[in-house]
Amino acid sequence: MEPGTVKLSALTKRFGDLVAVKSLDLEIPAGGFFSLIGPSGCGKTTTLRMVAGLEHPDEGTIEVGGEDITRRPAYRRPVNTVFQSYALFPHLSVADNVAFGLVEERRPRIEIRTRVAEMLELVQLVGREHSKPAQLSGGQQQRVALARALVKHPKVLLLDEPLGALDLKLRKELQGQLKSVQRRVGITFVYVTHDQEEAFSMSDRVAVMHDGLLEQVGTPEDVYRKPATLFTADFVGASNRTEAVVEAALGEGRYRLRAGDIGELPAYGPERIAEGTAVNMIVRPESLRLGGEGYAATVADVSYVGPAKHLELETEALGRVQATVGGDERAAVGDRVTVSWPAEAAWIVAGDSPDPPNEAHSPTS
Amino acid sequence: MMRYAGQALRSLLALPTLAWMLLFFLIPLGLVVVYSFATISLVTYNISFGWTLSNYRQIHDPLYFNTLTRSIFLSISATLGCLLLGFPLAYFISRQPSRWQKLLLVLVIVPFWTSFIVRTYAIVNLIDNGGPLQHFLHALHVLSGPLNILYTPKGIALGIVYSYLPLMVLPIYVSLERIDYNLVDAANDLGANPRRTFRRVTLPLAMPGVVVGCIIVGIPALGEYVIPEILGGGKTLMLGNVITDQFLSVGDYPFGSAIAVALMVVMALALIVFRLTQRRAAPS
Amino acid sequence: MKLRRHWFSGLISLVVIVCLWAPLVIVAVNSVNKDTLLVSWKGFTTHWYNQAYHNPDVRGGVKETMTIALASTAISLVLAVSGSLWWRRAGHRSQRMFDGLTYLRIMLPEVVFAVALFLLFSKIRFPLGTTAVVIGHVVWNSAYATLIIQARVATLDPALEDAAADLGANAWRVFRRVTFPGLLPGIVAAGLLAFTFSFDDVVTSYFLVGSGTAPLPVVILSMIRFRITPEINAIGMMVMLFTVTMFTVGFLAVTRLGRGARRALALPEGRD
Repeated sequence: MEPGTVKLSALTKRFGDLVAVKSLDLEIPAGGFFSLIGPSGCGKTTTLRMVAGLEHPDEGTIEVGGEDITRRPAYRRPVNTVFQSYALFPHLSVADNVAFGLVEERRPRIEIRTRVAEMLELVQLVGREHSKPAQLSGGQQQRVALARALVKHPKVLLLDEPLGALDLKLRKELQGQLKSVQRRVGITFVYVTHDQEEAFSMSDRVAVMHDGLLEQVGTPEDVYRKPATLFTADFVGASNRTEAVVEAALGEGRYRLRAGDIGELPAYGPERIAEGTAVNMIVRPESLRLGGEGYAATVADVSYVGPAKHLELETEALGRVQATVGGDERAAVGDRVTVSWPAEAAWIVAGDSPDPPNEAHSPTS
Repeated sequence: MMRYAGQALRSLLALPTLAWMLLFFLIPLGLVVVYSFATISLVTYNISFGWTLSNYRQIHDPLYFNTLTRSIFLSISATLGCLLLGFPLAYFISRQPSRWQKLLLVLVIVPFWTSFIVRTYAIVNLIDNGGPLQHFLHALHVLSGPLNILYTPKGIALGIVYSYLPLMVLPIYVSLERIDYNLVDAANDLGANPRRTFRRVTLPLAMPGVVVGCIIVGIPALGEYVIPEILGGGKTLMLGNVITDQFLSVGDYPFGSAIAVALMVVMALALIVFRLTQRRAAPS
Repeated sequence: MKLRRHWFSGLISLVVIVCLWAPLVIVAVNSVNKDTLLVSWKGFTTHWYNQAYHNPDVRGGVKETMTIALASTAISLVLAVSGSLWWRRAGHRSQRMFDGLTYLRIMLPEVVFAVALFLLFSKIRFPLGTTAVVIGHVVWNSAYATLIIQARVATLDPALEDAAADLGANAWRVFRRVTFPGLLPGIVAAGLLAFTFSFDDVVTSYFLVGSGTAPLPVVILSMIRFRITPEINAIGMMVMLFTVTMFTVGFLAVTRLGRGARRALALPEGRD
């Protein structure tokens, strides 16, 4: 087993009556950039802290590189953390901060000095060895925290929303730096964030958590284009949704659906959905096309965001529909247009069953 | 199991304090209560541990009961004195610009930082017959003849006020300092009666500080020993002195213990009364 | 200074402040006053200071007081630090009981502490003297130290200790390398305060010193009783200067504890 793999088995954590993490099973492959995303309170940070050893699971095991470390205290795990607040020791200089873990390992002084210097070079903080954390900017502090954790050559690096306190531009810059550092160092990064975009731009694989449970694990593209549950579909992006029934399974993930007022719809979905199953079908706003053959619609609202335009369309057949088109596409409130989408863009979310038919529910949201 | 080792270790941290307080605070206090129900033969100094109320009955003896009432009376008087002097002082300081506030607070606190016993001794010099206060009052024609407050309850009250005044000023200052006087001044400028504004706005907002001040002056004052010892001239004028006398001079431990218990009961009652008035005063 | 608007409270303030300082000024003046009866000024002298300096009771008293103060401060700090660190992670009920114990020790008159310990020591036949006094001081001194250090502990970032553990430090190393440095200003402040309280103490020392060397405040007390003036003024002056200095340094340490600690202690925050 590769040293940087992480395996969580039936991991459970309770805080009083609240079950923060519910029997989590997750395997994180070695050497990649892995993100754990989800809304606040979904249990992602708790999971991360359990891997670090800062929380103790009530049930389940944690393995790193094949070794069971569940019972080991934090200071004996081959795992290091970059904290959300950086947690830099205010009374120590940058160099002493970075050297902290090496001092605990009782490394000889020369070795410590060399490794600290290497690490500061990696995060581009050469020359700041003697500054105190308070004298550094947010971005610099974050890099010290990163260096401090990496210098110990952990098997896995855990990052708990480390970019939350930074402004947008700095955040994007540091995202790029984190990604390149991970490539250079080659160890497993486990990154926790509620920002789906951030996670997608940096990660090789992503896990979506909700209410203590794992909703889906996969590459960013898989999670986005083929969400397994409605929650995942909504969390990683906007979607137009309708309920439908599987009329025919055409094999290889293709299906023909029948949706109430709309009639027949071709769609793709996970394999082996039985005919007659009630499902939800989604189409992402950016997959909708204006013009050509399609459903009649009136533009109800336009939001211009620069590179794109978000439109709200009122249709007879489909109700309210959201579309995202290019910024230079001509569309104004009141225009009569036609809207359509390619069959490949229609995806069946099989993970949840729709609401029962007699509940009032708009066909698209 | 490593998981629980950390928790056990952490509970161990409470041990020093708990052990020390159990051994040297709680158990001794228990002893005091037990002794208060015992009797002693003042001939043989043999203590017999019964469950008698004779010591408590002895407190009703006018000699001791007067001391009890005098202690309560002096504590209340001193608290009122501190309040009457301390409130204007706290108010004045809170109305000054920030720099002056700090200076004034220092002027009020530094005397408090001098040695307690020296401070009390300094009062002796001040209020002695023939001392500066007497001269001062003569010069103002407020008084003629000897001052005669040293070695009297009046002197003790004065001494308590003198020593405890900063303890009244500080909490009231803290409460007043939070008031946004811009609003008060605006109200006054717009024609509101300043006295009414004070009564209906400033005063209620200062109340929490007043209550705290009264508690941290009044309650410890009940058990004062040094001030009545020095300013009372060796007469056992307050409960603290009677207790000390019974233990170190007379040797009647049971009776001394009973008085100590009585002191604690009075304090507990005073605290309860204060908390009740506090709860009734403002639901804020 | 805004005087005109608040002339009434200003007047009272002036009178009060003068009265607060007058006795101290008088002690200062009389400590160098040649007049033995202290009825008038008879010239400057350092005779009383000389006398005080050579007084064996005074010298013994200072040594004794120093010893007691150092010992009781050290023990009080240990109790305060351990108790406060425990309190941080304790359950609500335990916290409330601990706080009750702390406030009880602050509110209870010292005479009750002294008497209770006196009874205990007499019952178990523990000898009165320096050790007994130290034990007695620690009981109430640790309460003040605990309050200050609790306030300081409240400002500590728990993430720092998590980080230290994450980086390989066990519980003791976390304390030594992260927690203790963070607590240091509070420890200094609490230490200075506790030292001064112990140094200045009369009641507990009086009860528990037995026939041992009397600490300085007890020496002063007997001198006052026997009216051995004006040497008392010289002693008093030296003691006052010492305690003011200690409190000042302690206060400066407290104001450097940071806003969180100040709020917890309900001290006024500067408007800068």
